[in-house]
Amino acid sequence: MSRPRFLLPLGIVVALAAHPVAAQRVELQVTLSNDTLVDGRLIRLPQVRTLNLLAGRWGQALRNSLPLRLSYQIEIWRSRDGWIDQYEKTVEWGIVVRHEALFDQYTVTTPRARGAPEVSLATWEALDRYLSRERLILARPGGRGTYYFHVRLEVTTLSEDDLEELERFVRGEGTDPDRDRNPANRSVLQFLMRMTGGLQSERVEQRTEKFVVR
Amino acid sequence: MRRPAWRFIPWGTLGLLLALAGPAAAQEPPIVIDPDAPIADSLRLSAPPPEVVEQLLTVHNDSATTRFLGTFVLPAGSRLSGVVSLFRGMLVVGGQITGPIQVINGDLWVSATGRIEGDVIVTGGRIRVDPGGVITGTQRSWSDPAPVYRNTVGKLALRERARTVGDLASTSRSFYTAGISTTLYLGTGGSYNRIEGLPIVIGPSFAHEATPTVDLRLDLRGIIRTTTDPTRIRDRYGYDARMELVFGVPARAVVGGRLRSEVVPIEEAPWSRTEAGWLAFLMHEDPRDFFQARGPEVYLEAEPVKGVTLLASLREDEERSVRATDPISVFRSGEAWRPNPLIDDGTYRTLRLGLGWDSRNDRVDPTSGWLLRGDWEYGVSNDYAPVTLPRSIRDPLPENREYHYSRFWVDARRYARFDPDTRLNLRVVGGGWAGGDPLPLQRRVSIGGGDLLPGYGFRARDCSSPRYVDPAGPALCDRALSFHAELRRRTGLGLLYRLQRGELTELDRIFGFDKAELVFFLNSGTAWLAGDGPGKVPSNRIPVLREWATDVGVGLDTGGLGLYAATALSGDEPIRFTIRLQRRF
Repeated sequence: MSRPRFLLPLGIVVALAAHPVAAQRVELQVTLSNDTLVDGRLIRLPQVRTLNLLAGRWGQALRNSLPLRLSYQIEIWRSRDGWIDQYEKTVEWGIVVRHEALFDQYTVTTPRARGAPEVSLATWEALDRYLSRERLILARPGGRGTYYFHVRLEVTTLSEDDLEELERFVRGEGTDPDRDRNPANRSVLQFLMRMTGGLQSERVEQRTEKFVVR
Repeated sequence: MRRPAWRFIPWGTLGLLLALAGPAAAQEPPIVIDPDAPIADSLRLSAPPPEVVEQLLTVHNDSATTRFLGTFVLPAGSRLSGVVSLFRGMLVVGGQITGPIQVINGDLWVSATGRIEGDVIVTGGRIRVDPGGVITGTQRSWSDPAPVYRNTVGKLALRERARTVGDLASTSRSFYTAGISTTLYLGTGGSYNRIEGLPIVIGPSFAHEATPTVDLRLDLRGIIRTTTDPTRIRDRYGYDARMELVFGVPARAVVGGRLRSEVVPIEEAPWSRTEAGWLAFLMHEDPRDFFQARGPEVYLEAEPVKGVTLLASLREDEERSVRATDPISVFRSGEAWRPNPLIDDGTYRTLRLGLGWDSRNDRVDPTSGWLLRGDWEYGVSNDYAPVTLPRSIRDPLPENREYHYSRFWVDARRYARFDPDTRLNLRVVGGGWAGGDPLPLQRRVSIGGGDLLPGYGFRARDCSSPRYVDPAGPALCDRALSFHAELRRRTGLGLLYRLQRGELTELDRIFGFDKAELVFFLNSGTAWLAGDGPGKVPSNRIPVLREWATDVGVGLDTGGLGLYAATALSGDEPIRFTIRLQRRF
């Protein structure tokens, strides 16, 4: 078997893949805080800012009284130059945004937020400004060395059809085990969902620069 | 450039001080998130538990309940007595209500003049009590809505869970009466195949909560096969009846009994059930072989600790050969199907023990953790009619004594990441004869094609012999073992997928994908006959590495749907392309 034949499928794969992806509509900005002494160590903390959340379909969904759920995950990685990076742990938190029609106000619930975990806002502009505010995440690397954070945000609407899946998520049981038994079904389902109703969620990711914990 | 200044502060004031000292202080201060902080019950983002949902339905549908649909305002000075239930809207209480209240997927607002003398339940919303307003009873609320809907006769019913693709070709109706939940089901029974065509499954299932921690389930399913077997060896109809006791707290366990008559596959490999079904329906290629199993089974499944599963099963099956029929396919429908091989017909009593450990972080798309599964099976028969095979493949089976065999199967997977975008996945899978007499035909194995060795043809290692020609090409090996490694790199590349002003074009939405993974993989495996003699490998050994089949390949995985190309490193095999509907493993 000649090598050029083997390169053909690789070329096809690369050609198919070489299509630039446009920027995601929801924008995630992740920066690092100043050095801070915590438990005898100098660390930097991730600062997360979510922009353009209400500009498109998510804003439309909220106006239609569908609550929005923002699920954040921060993976803490230890960088080992020239070798495999070491995954340390993941911290998670979430935000739920609701429109309360009778009071004509918006409620933002952030259960892990210090101070005011639930905030009511009277106007769309105030809501947009509040959601765009910087969040400082108390995510602490476990040791010393060079680290970075990988931040993932998934935006979904909370519909009743999604409830069973979310029930499991809330209970910490993962996804529907019946679906897990057949991931091929899931792939086809995603395809059909795209045909019938478009994507049900949006995911964006960002990584911080590396920093040293001393 | 890192800022030289640092601060020494306790966690409690960290956010505030950082906000004041940092550059963001010129704007609004940051909101501090503590992922380890406990969550107040009132803020817990939770769904109502099943018993609450059941209570909501019962109360709302009770004819004695005062029901409201949508927002209702009880003005100041007004009085209402009895059980009140409101669905979807807001209940504004300015007057007085004497009795329990439930608001399903809405809000409750007790104004300054309002008074409720009774317990309150709210799902999918909140309770707001203005200064001066009074609720004398208990208050319970869940932020997530209850999964209920209003049916055509105005009663509330439980909403079915989101449907899988398998469910799309099915329908079911559930109702609840006298403490028993009944579901009537009509759907397809698994995947398309050349024995049954597309089996249709129909029947009721019943569930009853015997105690708060024990459920009793009865599942009665009939199977209608859409193709006809002219030989009438295969039954036209099948069935699967189960009764289970499900223990839920604190560790999950299921004790059950089952009576079945089913057409079951000999090997699940080389494709998953769904992929095999699509392959048969579209391309007229059915990669699996089947036999009919009919008989009773008792079983115990348990999850004593999270992630650890135990299985014990005892069954007595009449196992019978079935022949391929002629179901339609989209392409090459005029060609003949590959025959379905004969098995060693007989009645087998089988004890099966299984052990599993799953520490993966995600069952669908794992990036870390282990999955270990092991099965051991012991089979006995006094009534069987073996297929005669050459001695080079299998010694004659005993004629004047009980026939028994044991078989094992192990599947070990490790998922790890080098960095957030690069994963390494490893898998070792294999098993086969473990002891006793030689394996019956329906327990034998092979390797080649599909997900195990995609660079080789279908059943490239099937242990066939020139002295035994079977157009069905059955799997004849005693044992198989394979090793798989794949490196996945998320590329950040996409196809057609754009988000423009919040909308996707139809074409983009259907065929586009985002951040596909480039997959490089290596597989190596073999299957062999165990024992003494030419062409066999001693029972306590595995074949030398030079006898293993190895392939390498590359692919693009778009999130379940993947295109792969693989080439064998030995033999004169062409480059093979495969389309997968799921991750490789």
